[in-house]
Amino acid sequence: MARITYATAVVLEAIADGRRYGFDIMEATGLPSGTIYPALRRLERDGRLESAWEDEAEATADQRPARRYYTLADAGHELLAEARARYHGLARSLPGEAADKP
Amino acid sequence: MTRPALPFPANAILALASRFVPRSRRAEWLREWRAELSWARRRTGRASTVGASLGSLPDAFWIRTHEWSPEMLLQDVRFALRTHRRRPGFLIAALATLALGIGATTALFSVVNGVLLAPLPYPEPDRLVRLYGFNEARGTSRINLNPMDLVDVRDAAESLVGLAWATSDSVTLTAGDEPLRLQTDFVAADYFGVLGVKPLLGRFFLEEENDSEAPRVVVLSEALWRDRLGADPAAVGRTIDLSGRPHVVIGVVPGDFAGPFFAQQTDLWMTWPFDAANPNRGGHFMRAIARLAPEVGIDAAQEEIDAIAARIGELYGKPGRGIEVVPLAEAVVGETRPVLLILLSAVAFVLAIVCANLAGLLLTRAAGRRREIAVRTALGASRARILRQLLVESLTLSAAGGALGLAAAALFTGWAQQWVAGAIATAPRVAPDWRVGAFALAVSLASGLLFGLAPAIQTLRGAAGSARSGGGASSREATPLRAALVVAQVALSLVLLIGAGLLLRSFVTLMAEETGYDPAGLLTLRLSATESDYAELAGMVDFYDRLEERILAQSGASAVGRVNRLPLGGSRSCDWFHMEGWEPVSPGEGECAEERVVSAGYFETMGIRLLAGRWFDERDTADGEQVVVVSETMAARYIGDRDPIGAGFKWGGHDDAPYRRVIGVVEDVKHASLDAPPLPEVYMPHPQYPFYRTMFVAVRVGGDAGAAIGDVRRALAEVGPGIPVFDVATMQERMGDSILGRRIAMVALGSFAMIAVLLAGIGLYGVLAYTVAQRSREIGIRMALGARAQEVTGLVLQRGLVLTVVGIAAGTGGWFFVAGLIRSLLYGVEPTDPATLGATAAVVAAVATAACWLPAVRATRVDPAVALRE
Repeated sequence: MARITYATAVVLEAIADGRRYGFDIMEATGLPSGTIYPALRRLERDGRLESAWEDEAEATADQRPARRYYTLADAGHELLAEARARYHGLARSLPGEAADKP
Repeated sequence: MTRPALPFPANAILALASRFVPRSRRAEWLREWRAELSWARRRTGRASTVGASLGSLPDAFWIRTHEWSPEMLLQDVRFALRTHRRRPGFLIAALATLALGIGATTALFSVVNGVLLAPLPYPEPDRLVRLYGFNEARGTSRINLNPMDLVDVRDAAESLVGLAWATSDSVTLTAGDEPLRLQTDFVAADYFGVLGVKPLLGRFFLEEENDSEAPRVVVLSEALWRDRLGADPAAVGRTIDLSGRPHVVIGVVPGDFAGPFFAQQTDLWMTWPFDAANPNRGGHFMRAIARLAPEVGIDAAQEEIDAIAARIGELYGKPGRGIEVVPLAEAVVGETRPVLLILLSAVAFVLAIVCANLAGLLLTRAAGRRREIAVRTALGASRARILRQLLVESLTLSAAGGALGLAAAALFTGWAQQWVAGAIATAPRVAPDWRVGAFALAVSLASGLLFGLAPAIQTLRGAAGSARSGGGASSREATPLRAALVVAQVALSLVLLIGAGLLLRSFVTLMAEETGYDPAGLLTLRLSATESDYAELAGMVDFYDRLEERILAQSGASAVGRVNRLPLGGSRSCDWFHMEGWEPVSPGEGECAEERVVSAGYFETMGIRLLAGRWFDERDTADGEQVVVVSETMAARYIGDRDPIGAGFKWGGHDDAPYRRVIGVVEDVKHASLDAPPLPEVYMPHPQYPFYRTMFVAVRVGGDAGAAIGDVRRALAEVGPGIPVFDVATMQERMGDSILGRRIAMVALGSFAMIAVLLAGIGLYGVLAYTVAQRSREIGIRMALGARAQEVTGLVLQRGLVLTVVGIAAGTGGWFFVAGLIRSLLYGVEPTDPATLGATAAVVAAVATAACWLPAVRATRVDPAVALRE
């Protein structure tokens, strides 16, 4: 089984929960950006995450630059299952709410 | 898209962090962070935006340090393959030389792996030792032992848990339609037990079966059991006729068994029959192995056996004789070890030259790639990234070359297997295993780095230079490195050529060595007249006499003779003897000589010269006066100044006859090997000493000796139908076989040296061709200013020859460091033989001149007008 740090586990859980970009994940997990970004990079490199640029029109409508959105790949779901097995109560540990939800 | 302004420290931090992100990813990275931070500002305000921006630093560092990913490696490999495909000429040349270098190295390693590194095929092989006799008084070592002595050692030694002996001969199997000659090992009852081998079927020998009075029993090889007895499990217990005597089959040896003594395949094993009533301490013909007791080291065993041997020496009057204990693995590999190590070093030299050659080629290519590299650097590729790309290019080359080399090595190992099977008793399997694979991989990677690293660094440096100077010619930078590579190639190839040259000289010296006989036009073969054929010894001798007559009458042969052991025909016997007038000594004491039993025609047939007295002739019948002929060395050493003719001689242990008279002295014959000094030899007429039923027959044919075998077979069919002929070979073939190891070493080293010199020539050519191309403008100007063709040619030649001379000097100097390695393989020539050193340097110089000539001539074809316009 791959080594899963707690931070990685929490990031995975946040993305599974529908948080799709860095700042959103930051708010959901309460972890600093310096922890979240390397975790995102590693997960994406390992094929656990997929990323894509937000539709430009959507962003413009919202009067902000386009974001990079992250979603779980199949391998990411597998890793999440392992993470949940290791860190019990992970799903309930997210403190915040989705940042862009009203 | 609007680009939102970020608050002050945040934008600076992001800008700083972005410097660490590889350029290829930087724009996208910035875009993501800007989007995040601007959103953070809108949501939470300035302070938290600055806090969040700090996270960009660890992110950037993480990307920087983890840039290398499997996908990127794949990308590099794909790029490298595309690059290679665009230069098929270079690709083919590189792959061919690499396949050659890695293939030869791997093949030799697989031999070394099989022979030197693999354990012997017996349980606990480290506890097995070989026992050798030596005689301090006579300065002989590594000789065989006396069986009675071995029994004493076995019974007394506590440091050994087992001791066994073996000697080899052949017997005739008379079962079946056609008699068959079978290779037979006569062994100690415990032979298989000491080696730790279990029977495939039945059992092995019992201790009481060592006795000559015991019923004769035999163990078969699996091959014989399958071929002749149809793999019948009921074969055990059956009685078969061997050389006219019934033997009971008691067991079958597994097919993969190979004994530690004899390289040829054994068909049968029998016990050596001891005649306890008639002990003979004179003959030393047994090979012996032993198994050390647990916890006993080889030194302790040697110490105990020294003491036992000294006691035996005292008891039986054998002063100076001792027994040496040698690890069996060392004894089995024997003289093959230095040959293998020399060849492995040689092949490593070839690989080094291949690498130097490729490095030179890559350097030349690097000049052409400067623009490509500069463009990639400008587009954001880091230096490390480009270095890695270049190394991946050379590593893909070496990996492909290694794969081809492994295939080439597999072809070579079949040939190597034959050599090993002929040279080493336990005939290890020379087959690629995981070690060979790992070796090939390691060698491929190492050579890829070796020939790739320097050119890659040079390329980068050159690209940096050209970027600064706007694409100017900084190619001269690489020239010293290129020159050094050529010098190294010339030096290494000269070292190999000197080695090969010395081996060649040794070989020629050896072949020209006085053998004491004339091997040309001589056909030799063996037959055995068994007890079932001729029960009486006299009848057996008569059969041989009639056969010789018949061969003379029927074929074009000019002479026919026979002998119990031909020159180069096997081990020394060293039988104890006594000369008339010597002090009477206790049994076993005295000197030893080689016993040769011959027919009257033998001397003439072999072309052995008579120095004094007369040959044997028709007077020397069984009833006539008992006579011997002695060799030159025998007469000089043991008869001394007296006239040898008429001296009295008798064998010590087994000769009941009165003294035999010396009637002649013949020239020495190189019997043991071409490079060993002649032994004292005593010749006896077969009718007077008829105890040998198996004899070599020699036929002097003249012309094609091999073709005469048909005549011999026809003659035999008339005189002694049903007696098989075996071991047929011309004397020249036997001489060739006796120096096979030398010849293989010479041919292998010679081939490596030729490849090396050729590669060095190509390397030199490459450098000069490149120089000419680089300097075409200068040459054009010189020619425009009136330089003549010779001057231009001289300019290029001079550069090439300076490199060659430096290389030759370095190679000759280097030779003195490695010369000691090859000493054991030389014969009649010193490792620093000036003639060989001079001749090989001349060969290298000649090849180098030829390599320089083409670029030099091409330089004169430079068109000044074209050169100046460029």
